[in-house]
Amino acid sequence: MPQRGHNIILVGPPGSGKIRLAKRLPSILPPMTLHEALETTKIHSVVGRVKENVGLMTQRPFRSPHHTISDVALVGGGAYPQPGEISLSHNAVLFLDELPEFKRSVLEVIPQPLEDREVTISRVKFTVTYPSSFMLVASMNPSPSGYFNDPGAPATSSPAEMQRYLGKISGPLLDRIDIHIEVTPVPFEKLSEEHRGESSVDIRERLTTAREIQVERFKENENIHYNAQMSVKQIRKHCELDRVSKELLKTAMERLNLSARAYDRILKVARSIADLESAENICGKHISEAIQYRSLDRDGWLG
Amino acid sequence: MLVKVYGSAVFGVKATTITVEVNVDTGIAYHLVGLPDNAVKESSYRITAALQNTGFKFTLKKIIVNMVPADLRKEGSAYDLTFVLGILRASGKIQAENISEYLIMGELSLDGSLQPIKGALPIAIKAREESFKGLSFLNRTLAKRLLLMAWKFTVLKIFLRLSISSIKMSLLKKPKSIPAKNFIKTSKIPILILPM
Repeated sequence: MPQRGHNIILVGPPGSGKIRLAKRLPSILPPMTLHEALETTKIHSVVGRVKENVGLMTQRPFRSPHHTISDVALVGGGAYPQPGEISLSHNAVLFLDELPEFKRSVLEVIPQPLEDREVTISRVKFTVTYPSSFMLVASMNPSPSGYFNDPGAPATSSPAEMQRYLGKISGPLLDRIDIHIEVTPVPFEKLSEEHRGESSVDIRERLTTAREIQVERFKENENIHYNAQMSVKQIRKHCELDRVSKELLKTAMERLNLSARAYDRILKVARSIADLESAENICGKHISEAIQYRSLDRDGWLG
Repeated sequence: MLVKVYGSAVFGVKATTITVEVNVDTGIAYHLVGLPDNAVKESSYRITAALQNTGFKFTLKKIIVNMVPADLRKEGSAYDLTFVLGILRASGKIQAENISEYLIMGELSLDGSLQPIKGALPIAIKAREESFKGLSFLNRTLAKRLLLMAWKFTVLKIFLRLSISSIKMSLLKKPKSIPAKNFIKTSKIPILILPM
């Protein structure tokens, strides 16, 4: 279950519900605090996009720019500096559908603001800083034809084509995405089922509880509000592992060839999973779930 | 006569207060100085037309408008109202002694109506920080009507009710109207003071 601030990539064939899943995200995120609402409204006010009868934006925006977007439109800039999409989705969700279709230069600008949670635009005549603490949600097909990994579909893309397709997303960007989810098509039986899943309201309640734990945890830190923002020092403090989970993580790191950043990210995600269960300490199952979410890092993902 | 009015420039997501100094002297000229960009410079055309169409006359004197600080880039068309009020006050066409207690921003149309401006929220927050008494955003309200109503301002009123969820910022659409005639006689600007 994604939590506030963890970046997600959804991989799956067309029609498997990636977009539907992503669009529901704002409905389960905890409501904005006054501070967040002011920050977000400020940015939208600067570009003159606050609707007339809306005073303060209380809904988290959901921005989904088309993949033809330019790098300046994404990060901000221009002759008269304007905030870009990443700033407009401050405290909210930035959804990039069909991630590999974006221009390479556009994808290359994302990692830095993701890490710093603000973007500084420097030109000859000015330097401005826009906040950009957004949650990146990306979706992509596993292969150009779209049907790789789908048991029922014929394989129409060659391995070389698929390699090229996946290669469009750079390692640094992928490294900064905490949660990789493979979405499989929903079979007819499930679609037509009468049974209803957990409602957004219930999920939101669970997330809000987890969020409260995090608020309590970081109440002494002014700039940190949730797990995904933790620095290395705080990870050490709040994500202590027992011997078993340490061993588990070590094996995973070696087998899957994970980077040091991936290590930090796994710990953060594990912390969030533990918070969802209101668990005090991270234990083995939390770590193993977090490792499982790094499927794109694994060698041989292409099969 | 020298008059100081206040406007605001938004840079990034922060607003900086801009002092607009207007000096009216003998002679005929109009100078706008202090690093304004083209859209700001164009304001003179809008101002003359708007004044004419609302029954005022552009003062045929030497008018110098200076924007301070001069090293900051001022852009956009939102300073029209700041200039207009400064000029009217400096040339003695209106009496508004307390004009410098307000932050004034607004874009004018040629018929004198006002257009919404960008960056209203950062400006409002800054005005609050610097304890201005009020601010004069006119949100799509006709200045023409305002002029007839003797410059009554619609003031952006921010309610910051700090209760858990009910944070509302609403625009005060219609202030209690006072008969227009009374004001035209005294030609005094009744600037509505609202708690900010």
